[in-house]
Amino acid sequence: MFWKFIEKIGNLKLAVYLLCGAGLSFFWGSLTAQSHFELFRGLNSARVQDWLMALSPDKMHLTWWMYCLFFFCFLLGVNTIACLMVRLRALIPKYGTLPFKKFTLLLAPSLIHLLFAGVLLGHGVTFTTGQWINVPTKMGDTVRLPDGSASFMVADISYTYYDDTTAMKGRIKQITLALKGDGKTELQLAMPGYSSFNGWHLLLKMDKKKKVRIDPSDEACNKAPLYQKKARKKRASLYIRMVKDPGLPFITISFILILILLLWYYVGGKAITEK
Amino acid sequence: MFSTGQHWMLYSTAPLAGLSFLFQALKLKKPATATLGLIIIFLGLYLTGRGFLGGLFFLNPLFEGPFFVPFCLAILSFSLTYKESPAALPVIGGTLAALLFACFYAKGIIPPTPNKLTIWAVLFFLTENSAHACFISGGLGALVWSENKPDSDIFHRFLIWGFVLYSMSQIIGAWWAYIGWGNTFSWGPRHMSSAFLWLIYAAYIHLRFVQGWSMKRQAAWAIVSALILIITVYGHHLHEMTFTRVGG
Repeated sequence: MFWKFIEKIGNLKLAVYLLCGAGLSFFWGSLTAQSHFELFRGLNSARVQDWLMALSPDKMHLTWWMYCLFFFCFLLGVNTIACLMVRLRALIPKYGTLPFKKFTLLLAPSLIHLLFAGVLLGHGVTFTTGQWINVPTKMGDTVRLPDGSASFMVADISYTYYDDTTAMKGRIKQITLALKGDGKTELQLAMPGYSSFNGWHLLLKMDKKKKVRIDPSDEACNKAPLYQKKARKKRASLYIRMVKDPGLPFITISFILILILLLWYYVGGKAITEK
Repeated sequence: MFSTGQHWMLYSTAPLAGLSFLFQALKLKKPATATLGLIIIFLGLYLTGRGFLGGLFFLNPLFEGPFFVPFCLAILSFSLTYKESPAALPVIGGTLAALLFACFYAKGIIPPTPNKLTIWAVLFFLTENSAHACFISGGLGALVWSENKPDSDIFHRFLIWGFVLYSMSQIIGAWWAYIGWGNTFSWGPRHMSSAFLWLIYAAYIHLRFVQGWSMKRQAAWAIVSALILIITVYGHHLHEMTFTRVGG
């Protein structure tokens, strides 16, 4: 009775339907996010449930696909685990009767599916429990970790620009920021990359405004373009992005193992089957 | 580099691909392979030259989709022609179409922001665009299969390798997105359309094991998926034409 039920929910045809359902949800989501980019950008710094709750009900026509996506992904996770159980039930008795390499080759797809469930779980944990805080920053500011466990002073911000001899002259090549904490604690931030402290990952974020409008009250207004560019450089918005992502270890470890298994299965596995 | 900004190198590959297509249609294997070899050399030099377009060498412009996908397609065409595969002709046709698109595309490079100056970005575009070329070849191979129904499923191998490469790109991309922006997955059109494409190909991989799904249906899935991929990916490329570019 139990195994019949597991076989039913672990059905391969159901897996295909669920993959298509999740795919179509993403497709609709990509179209919606294209036309409402700013709205969905906010979701990258908020827990999904908080973000959905904060939206007014009249935005439901923009977010309905997210409910479908989570529904399909949840069912896909259940289907994957059930399918895995059915497969392992048939495979494990063969241990010892099959050559070890062949047995591991047959086991690899099951492990990939288990790890895929790990990726789904990791993303679920990230979306529902992650924390992302962006703090505008400038020299001399004090930056406090969101849990209050430490604070840092912005000791140095340095911008590197492309040489005037290149076609990218005047554009930012790199930004580095030095944080000084209590005692001897020092953190260096650069792009891309992060520094860890007390479970928080600290990154640099540059606010990329698509179009810079000239404010008539701005001293750069009505000046030569070269002067305007120089003046605007000073106003580049820089943030420290503090991230706590409990889903990251699940996602990273599962992804690395999937990559190794995929390569082993398709490259190494071929050699085994050809033998 | 001597090939930097030498757009004639790119423009010359399109008529060469046309010639190769003609030779292949006339079953002249050697001239078809030779012209494809020339395309690979010219395009390889052109791509390397693109790396210097900004006045400094960057790897990123070498792997920009509109220029790197035809390069991958040319390599696949070369291999198929050499092996006398029936899929060679449509894949050469695909190379020709991709080269024509590249000829009309913006030639400058998008100035790399600090977050793009990392090996992860390079690896991401390398694997993603290689996967796109495999998926497109898989769709074209499926077209041949539908017409001639040869014994071997010539399109399946392309889709498998495409899926492996695309999965690699998603994994690399997730890590790059995390170290660059603090999210492994961003709720933007780019990430969501990538997830959509990965899921339709994941569905294809599973279809192989579903009872009652004939090769004919699998070939149809491969063709439709390739069409969706072309519309999605080339739609992004057209959107990126509006970005500020330098050089070129």
